[in-house]
Amino acid sequence: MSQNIDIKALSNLAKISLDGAESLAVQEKLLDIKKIIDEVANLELDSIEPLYNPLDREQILRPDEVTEKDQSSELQKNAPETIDGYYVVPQVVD
Amino acid sequence: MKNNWEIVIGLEIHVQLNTVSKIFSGSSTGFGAKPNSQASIIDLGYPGVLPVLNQSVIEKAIKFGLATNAKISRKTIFSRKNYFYPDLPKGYQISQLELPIVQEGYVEININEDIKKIRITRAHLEEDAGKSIHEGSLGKSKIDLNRAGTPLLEIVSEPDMRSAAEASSYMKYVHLLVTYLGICDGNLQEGSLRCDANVSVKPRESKKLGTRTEIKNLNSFRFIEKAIEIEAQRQIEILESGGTIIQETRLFDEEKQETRPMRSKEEANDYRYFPDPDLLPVVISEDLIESIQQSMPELPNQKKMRFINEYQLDKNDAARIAHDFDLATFFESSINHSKHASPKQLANWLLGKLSNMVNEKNINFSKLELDPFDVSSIVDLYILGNLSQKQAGELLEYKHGSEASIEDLIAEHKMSQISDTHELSNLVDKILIENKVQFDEYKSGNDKVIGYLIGKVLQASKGQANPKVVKEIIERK
Repeated sequence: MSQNIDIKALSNLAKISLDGAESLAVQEKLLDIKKIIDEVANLELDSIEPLYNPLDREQILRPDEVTEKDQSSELQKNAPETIDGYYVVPQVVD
Repeated sequence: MKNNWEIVIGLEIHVQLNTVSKIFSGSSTGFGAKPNSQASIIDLGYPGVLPVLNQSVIEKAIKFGLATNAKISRKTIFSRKNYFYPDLPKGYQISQLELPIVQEGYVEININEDIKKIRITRAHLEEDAGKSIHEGSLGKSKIDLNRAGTPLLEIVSEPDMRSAAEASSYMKYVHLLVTYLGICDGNLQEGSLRCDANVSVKPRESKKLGTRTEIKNLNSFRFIEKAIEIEAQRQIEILESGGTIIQETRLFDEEKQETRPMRSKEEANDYRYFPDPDLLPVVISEDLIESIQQSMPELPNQKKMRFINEYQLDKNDAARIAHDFDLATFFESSINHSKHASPKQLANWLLGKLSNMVNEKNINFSKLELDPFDVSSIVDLYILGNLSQKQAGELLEYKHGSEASIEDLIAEHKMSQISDTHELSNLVDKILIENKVQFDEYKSGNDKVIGYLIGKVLQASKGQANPKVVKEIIERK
C-alpha cells in the first residue's frame, strides 16, 4: 500500500487552505484513516453483494406535484449579496 | 489527406424530463420564472433537508429504456458527484454511477439509404445545476437556481458514429424519440436537450481509438455538426504535423468557428463519487415495468414501417410523415375522414401544399387552423374533379382559420371546376384556332404538344377547366 497522500491536491479539492504545520498534522491523521481503509480494501469480498445503504429499506417515491411555494425573499435574507432576485458571488468564469 | 482519417464520435445527451416538479423536491420546473422563485430549501442545499425522489422521473426513464431495447435495472442507486461551483449549492450533484436505471440499449437511425445501429451504453438520472450569469463589469457572477434540481436523463452512447452527419442524425432521432414518448418537451432553445460530443480521429485502417476531446454544450443540430467537423480537422492537422492530442474539455465558438480548451486544469477532475446516504436504493418492480410497457406509444420507426405496409407509402414519404409526430397524427386522422382520396394522395397534399403552409406560418401541424376533416373534404373534391389542383390549394388557404363552410367558400370564390363537355368544347375550339401551329403539330403525331394545349385552355378558364375533360375533348378532335 502506498503511504503517499497528495495533501495539496486534497486540500485543493476540498477548497481548504492549510499552512505547513496544519498540512503535516492532517497528513498524519489521514494516513491513520487510510490504514483502516486499506484493511477493508484488502478483504476478500468478491462474493458479497455491496451494501449501498445501512437501512434495509427501499426508497419512497413522491407523486409529481408542485408542493413548494416561492419563499425567495425570505431565503435571500441569508445571502451575503443579492441583486434583482439573483444570488451574487465573486466572478467565476471557465 | 483527410480521407485516410476516420472520425469517431460518441455523444452524451442530457434530456430534461418534462415533470411539473423537480427530481428531489416539490418545486416547480416551469421555464422562465422570476430568478430563484422556484428554488426551495432542498434545491438550495440547506442543512438537514432530505431529497425525496419523484415517481414520474423513474417512469419516464423506464419508458426511454423500453423504447431503446435496453435493460432496466431492477435496483438502481443514486450517488454524489462532488465538485465546487456556485450554481451547485450542495457542493455535489446527485447523479448515478453504479447501477444506472437504464443499461445497454440501442437505436436504429437512417443514414442515407442504410440503417445504422447506435449502441447506448447507459442512461442515468441526475439533477440539473443552476445558471450563472457573468457580469464582467461588476467582477461578480449572478446565480439563478430555478433550474437546480430539474430532472435530467443523461443518455451516453458508445463511440459508434463515424461522421458529423451521423452524430446529428443520432441526436435528431433521440430528440424525436423523447418527444414521441412524451418524456421531454424537446425545446432546444430552452435547453431541454443538451449535448456533449466525444471526438477522436484515427487512421482508417487502425483498430485502436485515438485520444479524444470532449466538446461541451452543443445545443442545436447545426452546432453539433459544425463543431465536430472543426474539431476533427484540428486533430488531424495536429497529428499530421507530428503532434499529439491532449485529452481535454473544449468549447465551440461559433463566431470564430473554432473549438478552444474550456479549463486549464493540470489535474484531472476527481469527482469522488460515493452512494448518497440520503437516498435508499430504488427497487423497480416487474409490475411497474409491465404497466409502462402496456402504455408505450408506437415508436417513430414502427410507425414508418406501418405507413409503408398499410398505406403503400414510399420509404421517404413514410419517414418524413412518421418523423413528425403532429403531421403523422394529422395524416391518419385525414385518412379516416376521406371518402375518395387514397392515403398516398393525402400524403402528397400533406407533404406538399400543407407542409408549405405550415412552414410559411412557422408553426407545426397541431397549430394548423384547419382540421383533418376539412383537408380530406377538399382533397376529395379535387380527386372527384370538382376542383382543379390550384383551386383546391387556394381553398385550403381560404379555409385556414375560417368559420365559413367549404361550400360557402367555393361559392364565394366562384371556384367550381368546369367539367361540362359542352361548355368546355367552345373554349377548346377557340384555343385550338389561336394555337393552330401547335395543334397541327399534335395532329401530325407529336403527342407531347397536348400538354401545352391543355395548359392554354386552363389558363383561359382561369384554372377552372377540368384538365381531364379538356384532354378528352382535344383527343377527339
